[in-house]
Amino acid sequence: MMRRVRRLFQKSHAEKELDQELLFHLERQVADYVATGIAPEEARRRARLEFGGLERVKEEVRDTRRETILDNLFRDFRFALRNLRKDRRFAFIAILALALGIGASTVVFSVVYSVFFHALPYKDFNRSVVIGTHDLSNVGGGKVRLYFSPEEVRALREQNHVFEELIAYARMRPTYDDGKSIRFFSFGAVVSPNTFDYMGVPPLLGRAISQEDGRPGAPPVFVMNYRLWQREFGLCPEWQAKNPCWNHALAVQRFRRKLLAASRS
Amino acid sequence: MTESKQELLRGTLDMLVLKVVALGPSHGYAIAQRLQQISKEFFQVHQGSLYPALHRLEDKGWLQAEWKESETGRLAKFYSLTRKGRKQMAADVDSWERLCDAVGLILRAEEDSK
Repeated sequence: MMRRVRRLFQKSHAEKELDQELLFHLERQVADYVATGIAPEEARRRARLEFGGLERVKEEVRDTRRETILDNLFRDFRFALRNLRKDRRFAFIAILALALGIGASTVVFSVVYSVFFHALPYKDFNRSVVIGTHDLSNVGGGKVRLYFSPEEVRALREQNHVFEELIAYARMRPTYDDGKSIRFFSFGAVVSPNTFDYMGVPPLLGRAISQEDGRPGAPPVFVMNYRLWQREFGLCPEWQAKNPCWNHALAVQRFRRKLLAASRS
Repeated sequence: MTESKQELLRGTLDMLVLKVVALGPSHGYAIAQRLQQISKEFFQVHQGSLYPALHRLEDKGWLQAEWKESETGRLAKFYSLTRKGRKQMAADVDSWERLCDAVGLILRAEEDSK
């Protein structure tokens, strides 16, 4: 077995050996002819003739070797199948173990893939980072500061030479009042007006927040996600016309992987 | 140079090679010579079938090979029988003999009924 494995990697070695083996045969034949009194030239000619072409013999040896390997593989395969069929319980357990193993690694890989390699399905998110301040003399108690004042954000956005664009958000809990009842939603954020351009995902309905909405004095607007629209407003498409309280509502956005988006963006 | 008319069946050649090698480790040339001599020049094994057979038997683990100095002082690949090969040879010889017996029985029966 080891020899066969080695032979796979040392192809040229096996070829050289075969060469030597066949040449030895040829030389012995010549020597034997010479010993019976035939002239060396004639002996060589005869031996070569009898041998019938070194290359042809070599090719035949290679062929049988390939055949043997295929043969062995096929026999092993049939043997395995027969044994599996004979012992159903073992076969079942083996298949189950394989299935579980493959399934588990697929799950782990998809999680790893979506978290590390393809984290968020937004425009250029593989180039996006979260920035923080590490200036030890200017941190509010901790070693890293991940929050910035609006002035800082504006300064960073306009003065840095590293980032193409910068977005910011602040968490808040929106309150919804339609005149009859008040509802509280636990997830929400105030975002900089360039956020939706940055993410590059068009809204399902209406328009997303744009730079215009960031001008001083512009009316407040908001975007809600698909889940909220579905759960709280019954997927109603005419919400703006029907309900005067929705004047400020702008768009429904279908965020894929909402939780990750909330924690990272 | 006597061209043999006798084409050997593949399985038969394998068995004969195993048998010759069982007589003592030898290289390809010596195996061909011995086959020829022992069969009184009846078989002349061509290199194009001998060497594929040797390598096939080696791959199957019935023969093992090692490079040793030959009678003339040059390195040659010597084949010898493995334990697996010896078992295989015994089985081959056994089935061959039974085949011969059976064929013989049938041939003789034909002569009787003439």
